[in-house]
Amino acid sequence: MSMIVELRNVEKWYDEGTTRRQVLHGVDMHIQAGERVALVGKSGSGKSSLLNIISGIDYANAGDVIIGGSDINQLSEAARTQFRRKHVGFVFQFFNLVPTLTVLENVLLPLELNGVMGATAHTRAMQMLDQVGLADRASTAPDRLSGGEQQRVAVARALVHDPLLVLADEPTGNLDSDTGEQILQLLTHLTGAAGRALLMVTHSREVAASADRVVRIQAGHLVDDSTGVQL
Amino acid sequence: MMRVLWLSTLRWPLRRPWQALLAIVGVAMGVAVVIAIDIANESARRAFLLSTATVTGRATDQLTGGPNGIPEAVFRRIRVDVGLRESAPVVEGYATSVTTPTHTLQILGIDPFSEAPFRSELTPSGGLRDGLAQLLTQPDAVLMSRATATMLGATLGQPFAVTIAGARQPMVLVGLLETGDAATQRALDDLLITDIGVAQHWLGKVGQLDRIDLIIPADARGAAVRTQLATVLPPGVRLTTPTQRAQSTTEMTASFEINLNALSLLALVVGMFLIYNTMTFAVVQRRPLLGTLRCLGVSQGEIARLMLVEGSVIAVLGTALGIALGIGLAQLLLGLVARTINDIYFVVTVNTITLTFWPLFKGVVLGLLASLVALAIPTWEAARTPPRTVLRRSSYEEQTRRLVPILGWLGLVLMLFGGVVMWQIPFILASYVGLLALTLGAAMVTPIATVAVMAAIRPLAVRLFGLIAGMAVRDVVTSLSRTAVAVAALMIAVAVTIAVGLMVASFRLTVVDWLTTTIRADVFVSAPAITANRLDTPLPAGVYEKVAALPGIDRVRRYRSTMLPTDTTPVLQIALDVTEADHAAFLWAEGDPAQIWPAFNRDAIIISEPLALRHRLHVGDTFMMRTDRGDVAMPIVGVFYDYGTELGVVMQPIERYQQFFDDPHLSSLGVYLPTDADSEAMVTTIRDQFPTTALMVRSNRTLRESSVAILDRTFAITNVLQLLATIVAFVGIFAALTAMQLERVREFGMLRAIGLDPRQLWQLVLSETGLMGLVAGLVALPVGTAMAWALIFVINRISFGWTLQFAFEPHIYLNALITAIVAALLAGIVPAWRIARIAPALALREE
Ligand SMILES: Nc1ncnc2c1ncn2[C@@H]1O[C@H](COP(=O)(O)OP(=O)(O)O)[C@@H](O)[C@H]1O
Ligand SMILES: [Mg+2]
Repeated sequence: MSMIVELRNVEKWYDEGTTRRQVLHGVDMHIQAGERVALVGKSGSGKSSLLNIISGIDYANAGDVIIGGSDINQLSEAARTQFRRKHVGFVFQFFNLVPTLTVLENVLLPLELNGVMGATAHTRAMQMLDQVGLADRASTAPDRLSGGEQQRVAVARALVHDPLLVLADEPTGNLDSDTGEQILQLLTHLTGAAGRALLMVTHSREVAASADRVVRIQAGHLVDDSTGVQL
Repeated sequence: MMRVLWLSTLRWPLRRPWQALLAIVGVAMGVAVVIAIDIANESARRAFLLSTATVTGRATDQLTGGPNGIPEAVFRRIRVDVGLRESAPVVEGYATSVTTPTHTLQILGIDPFSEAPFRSELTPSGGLRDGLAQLLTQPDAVLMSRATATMLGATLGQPFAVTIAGARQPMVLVGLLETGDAATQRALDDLLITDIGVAQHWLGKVGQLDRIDLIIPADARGAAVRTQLATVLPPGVRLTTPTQRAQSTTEMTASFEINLNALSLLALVVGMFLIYNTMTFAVVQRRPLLGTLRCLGVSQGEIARLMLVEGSVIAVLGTALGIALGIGLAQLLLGLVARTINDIYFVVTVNTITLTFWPLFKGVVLGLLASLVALAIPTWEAARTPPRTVLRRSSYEEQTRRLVPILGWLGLVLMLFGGVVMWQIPFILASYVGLLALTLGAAMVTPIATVAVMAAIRPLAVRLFGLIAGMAVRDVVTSLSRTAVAVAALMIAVAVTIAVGLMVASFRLTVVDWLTTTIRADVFVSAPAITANRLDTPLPAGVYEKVAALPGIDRVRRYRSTMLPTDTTPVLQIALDVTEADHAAFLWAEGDPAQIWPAFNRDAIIISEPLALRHRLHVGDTFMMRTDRGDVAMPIVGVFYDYGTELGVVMQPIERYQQFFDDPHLSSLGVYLPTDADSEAMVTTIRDQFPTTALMVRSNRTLRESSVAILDRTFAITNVLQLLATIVAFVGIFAALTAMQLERVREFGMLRAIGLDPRQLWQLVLSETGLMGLVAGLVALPVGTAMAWALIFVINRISFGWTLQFAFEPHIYLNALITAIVAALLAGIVPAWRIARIAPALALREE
């Protein structure tokens, strides 16, 4: 099994005027292909910051961020963008969908960015929407969907271009627990199938339990915790 | 082509069509003003050149004389001594139609026997020879185009009348002029052709010619003719080419055009701010969308391209609309432009615009270029949008606020730079650059000024109007990234209003003062002139003697004003009587009055300030005057302030003028009465002396009033432009504020949810926009004053050469402040209405 995420001694801080706020302290992390990892921790502990670094949205102040074999922390902003477009799928807490595009178009967008267009793209996107159970809403505007449906579209969009790595940052944050559960099951189910890596931030015990591994973060320190699940 | 990606942003303006529409209208207005001014000027120039070319025909050269033309004997010499058969004498003049509205008619007196080689395209129906022959068969016969005949209501063979020098002149239409092509046909508009003898009689030019048209071949024979001509021509007669002559006439309006262009460029700058404003909002509103796209891996370059394409669509549509509007506006402005040219410079008859390539091209280029410049910063901002998950609005605002002082300092430096450039480099282009730097610098200082004003008024606002007012004050500062742009745009528009207002006021103040100083006689007598501001039509003979002999008169001053040709543009020559009592009527820019008058009475001349500036002449230099005795170098002994013409004035005693020019005529008389005499009664007395002569007899007050009226007329265009700039600005501020407030629907929904009632929301929104208007107005006061300074002391001085007094008019400032606040409040009404109407639940659901 190949290593998809490999973090070595990652440091992240924010300078706020004269004070420096250290957010991540010497983080080491490994995720293999096909592995589904749950990231847990209190609010403000640095989960989102970590995800941003792994996706190349933000950079680490020190350490190596090796994703799919290349150290993306050494890449230029443009190269990181290209990397992200190709290898990363994202599900956020809010504002996932582009309001000016239909459901189908939202799912088509990552394909198009990767140069897949026309009938191939259409078939693939419809297939994905079918898997999340929303094929019949393909031409609807996102704001007509419920919160749970919107997140399902986001899942379809995160997976449609077959990325190496899927990142989900509290994708269930503003959903009721049943719906949230459903979304995460869908996510773990769909990622696991294709041998991709999944890193999701969650507060749900059951979801964490269904992951292959749970990683806990505490005030910027990573505590690998593959056995007990104490949230 | 990434279809879905493009759709994601291109659908955005469709969701807010009015916002896109306002941006398009903004660009369109800016472009329209610029090309309208250009087309109007160009049309007037073309009309003049075309009609000159038509009446010049195939002449290669022209002989022109002094103010009194060329003696007829010269023509005979050319025919007999030089043997140049291809020569034709011409007498020109103007008449006025008796229609309403009146038309200025050009009279062209020609010699039918010499005409054949020259103006054969003016073929009267029935053949040139027949038509020209008809001129000789009847007294007072004229030829004209069918269109002119229709306009005058003249029919073939029937008598009709026009006004020449204020008197009714009957004439008969004997033939219609016809030409093949439409352009020449238009050049024939308002042209009356008659026999030269008739024209001389009508125009009071018996025995004299205005010019002699020549065809001199470009070969050895031609060269021989030229040498021979040089020997037979009397000193005052000169050989020129028709194009030279026409060119130097049209160049007279250069300053006028520069000034109009400066104003139209200001309108474009306001338009630029509008595009900048709109695109900045487009970016700000779309930040979440752009952030999401960035997360999905859309690159900075791709985002920049998306924004550029959208902006370009607006720019292209706006420019296209602007061209259409500009053509319409040009037709409207043409009348105003032509009237000013006729008032001040030369006679031009033009009723329809001529579309040529350059003004339209310039409009397209300026519109697109201005849009691109205005797009640059918002596009860069958009591309810089961080991916969604690291996006924090408050940190963005924090960043903006940290930038504010830096921006303020930069702005200050830029303003200083603009000031120094204008002060130190006396070229019009440098002044434009300086003015632009001043304007942009002021816009950059606006954010910090906004913060300062808000900090100053917050305690007071809370005490007087409670918490909601306090909230409004705070909101203006917390969303500074957006409010500052809108405030800056409004500030610039208001500053332009102040600047133009102060400029016009200063002009008026100076000229009225000057008129009071210089117009001293109690009654003025002159011949009616076509060019309202100039008195080159001679008084009928005997008027002076008769007026001077009237009882109850202290003394009569004689004036003779003529246009004096120079190597460049012509200047106004004024010959006059000056006694000791008249010395106080002169204000000196240079020279010692104690020495000026003795020298003036001996052999020196005095010149006006614009002439001194334009030709870099000073006391002690000489001015080369083309006289009927040849070129004479006259020493300059003084430079006086004069606001009558930017072409420049040369003054000399009338006795000397009559020695150097064969021109016994007078242009006007200044009649001085004893202290307590009734000048209006004297006006009537003088009029009664000349019951059959067309004379303008005006009292001191009437003349001053009519001079000020002409001045005001020249500012009619300025006022139209100022109004247009204000409309553009209002459209801009309206778009900006509406967009800004609507973007906060969610926040307002939250306020509704926690218990604010719709009335309080109204209060909140209107307080915010009102405060923004207040800041814009306050900042505009010093900025407008600085721009006025630039217009009055730099741009006007370079283009016209006038030293103006600065008119400090408090009401202009007060009006500007009120305009700013009212415009901002009006712009707040639509968003306030929509926000107050929205249900809290609905507002919260958005996004
Ligand atoms: N752009 C930023 N500037 C300053 N501090 C930040 C920034 N982003 C995050 N932080 C701080 O970093 C810490 C971790 O934040 P985050 O990674 O969002 O935590 P989590 O997602 O676990 O709730 C918090 O204390 C937060 O305030
Ligand atoms: Mg987080």
